[in-house]
Amino acid sequence: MSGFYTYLSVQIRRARKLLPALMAATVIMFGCVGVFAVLYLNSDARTEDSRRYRIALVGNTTDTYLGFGISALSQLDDSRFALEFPVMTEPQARRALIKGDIAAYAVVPDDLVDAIVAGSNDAPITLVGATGQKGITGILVEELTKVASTLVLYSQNAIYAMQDVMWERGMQDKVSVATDDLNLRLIDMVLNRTQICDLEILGLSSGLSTGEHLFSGLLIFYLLLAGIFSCPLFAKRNGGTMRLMASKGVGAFRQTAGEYLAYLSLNLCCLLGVFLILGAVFVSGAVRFAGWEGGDVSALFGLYLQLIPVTAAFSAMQFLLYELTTGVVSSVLLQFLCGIFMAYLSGCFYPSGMFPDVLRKIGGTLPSGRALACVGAQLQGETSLWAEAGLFGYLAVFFGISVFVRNCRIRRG
Amino acid sequence: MEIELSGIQKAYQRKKVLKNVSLTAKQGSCVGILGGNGCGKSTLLSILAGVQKADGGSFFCDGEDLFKNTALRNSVLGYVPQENPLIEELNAWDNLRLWYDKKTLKQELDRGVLALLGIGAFLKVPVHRMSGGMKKRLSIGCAVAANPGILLLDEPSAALDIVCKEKIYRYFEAFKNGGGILLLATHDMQELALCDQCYILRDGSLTCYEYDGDIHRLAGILS
Repeated sequence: MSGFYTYLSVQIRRARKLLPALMAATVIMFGCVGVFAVLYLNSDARTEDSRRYRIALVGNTTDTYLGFGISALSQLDDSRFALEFPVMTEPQARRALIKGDIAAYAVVPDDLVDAIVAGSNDAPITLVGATGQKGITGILVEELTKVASTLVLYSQNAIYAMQDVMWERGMQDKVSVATDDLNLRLIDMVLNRTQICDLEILGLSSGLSTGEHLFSGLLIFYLLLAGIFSCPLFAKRNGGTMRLMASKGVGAFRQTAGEYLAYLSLNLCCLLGVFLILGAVFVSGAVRFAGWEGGDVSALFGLYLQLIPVTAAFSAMQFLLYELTTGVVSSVLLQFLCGIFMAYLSGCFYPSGMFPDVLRKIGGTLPSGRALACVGAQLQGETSLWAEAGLFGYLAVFFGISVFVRNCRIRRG
Repeated sequence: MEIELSGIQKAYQRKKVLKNVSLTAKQGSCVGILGGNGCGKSTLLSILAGVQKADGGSFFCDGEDLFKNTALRNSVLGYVPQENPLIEELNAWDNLRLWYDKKTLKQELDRGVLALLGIGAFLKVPVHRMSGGMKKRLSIGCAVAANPGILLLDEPSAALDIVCKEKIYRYFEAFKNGGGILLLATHDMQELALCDQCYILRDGSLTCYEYDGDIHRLAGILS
């Protein structure tokens, strides 16, 4: 074993020489990405207004009834937290829609109120949206508009039906009072419709908030791409050393173990650097996660420990990729493509719930998927033993294949 | 000390590179192995060094089978492969530390084999800044760390200038005179001049060759 320890110490010496450059690259990369993330998170939570959907109203909104309805929606209804109805001309609305300032605009026809008063819905409101907005936002906006126009229509129908019945029964003197009463009842029903159901938002996939998901996704993405910066460590290896070491009893297994451990320690050092920066950010209060209140730094330390198996598995994967390739360009390209591919499929960029079932399952099975599950569990104060076991399984497989490849390289001569 | 190779065989898939290689070498001798490119010289040396496994045959040193006794093989045998087995980012000292403990390394640099190879002059130079001659001398320095009795050298002076060659040859002479056995795979006429016995490896077999300095005759045989 003394041969192995000597080999390991030499490999650690190599890694140590690379550490300053690697640390600088890591800090720059993570710093840049982190600044954008902090800006994004803070801007998202900054004001209530920034989260509201703006639906412009175009056309005749001067009618008393319509004005009253819009005013009630904007100032009294619970929907005021989600919707805003600025009044615009059609050209203004079109420009705002193209610029993305509004989600859609609704064209109110001139004879809308007349049609409602007549008890029909012959002049419907036209909703204009932008191309590519047929996602959940588009559907919501469309549904909201339908709900609003249907409520107005049926309310008016009810009022006129009641007035007709009262006229027929000779209760003309009470029509005015009854109309006001029914109007108030209908308004009361509309304004209290949150009592129909309670909406609870758990967050994105795995119950993480947007900030937590972004944070864990960034961490995993960084760890996946960390291998690129270590390229000099692998690019200058030569077959002569491998063969000579093998002839002296430090065979493929011991060589792989020595180089892998040195590489892992290098990655863990860089990750520690990243966490020191994160610690400073958390202490400054620039970013806070709900589950971590009162113990951000200790929780961060817990997360670092949780990331050790993740780093070990990813390092083994990156080590294998370097074993499989020879040239610098092909090595870096392979690391990059694998990193991007795995990060995308596992939901580092978008929640994996947006993908089809098959892709979601594949993404969850990949090392990056397991890693996300690990980090997600840690952010929620839990541990995911299944995900950790999966990572250790991957580590063993990648390491085993690396030993096999190294053995082939030594024997091939 | 005496070494004896007998019936060594090696095939890569269907191609038989070594069919029945046998030779003996006595203490204080230098054996040269000649042959065209790709004839199997490097394969033979790597098999003897334990890097590759032979399909058949034996390799005895004073009656001990070195194919089976790997601990003995590691202690009596030094191997300098064709490519320099050095770690590029590290300097000479760090590379030597892979093979020597600190105390022995200092001793060898003061008055041992490393001093003879002149390695002390470039101890702090990173390998990637070294000349070919420095690298080769350092490789030999690494290979002889265990003070071996047998040295396997795969084209040791290829692409070196005359000054470097002279330093290396002087060391080979000293090694031979100290009772060591040198086994050289070479194309170099100057290296052949160092050899006490020469063999030509052709079609997977060794044939004895009396080197007389006639390069045209040698070229005729090899072709």
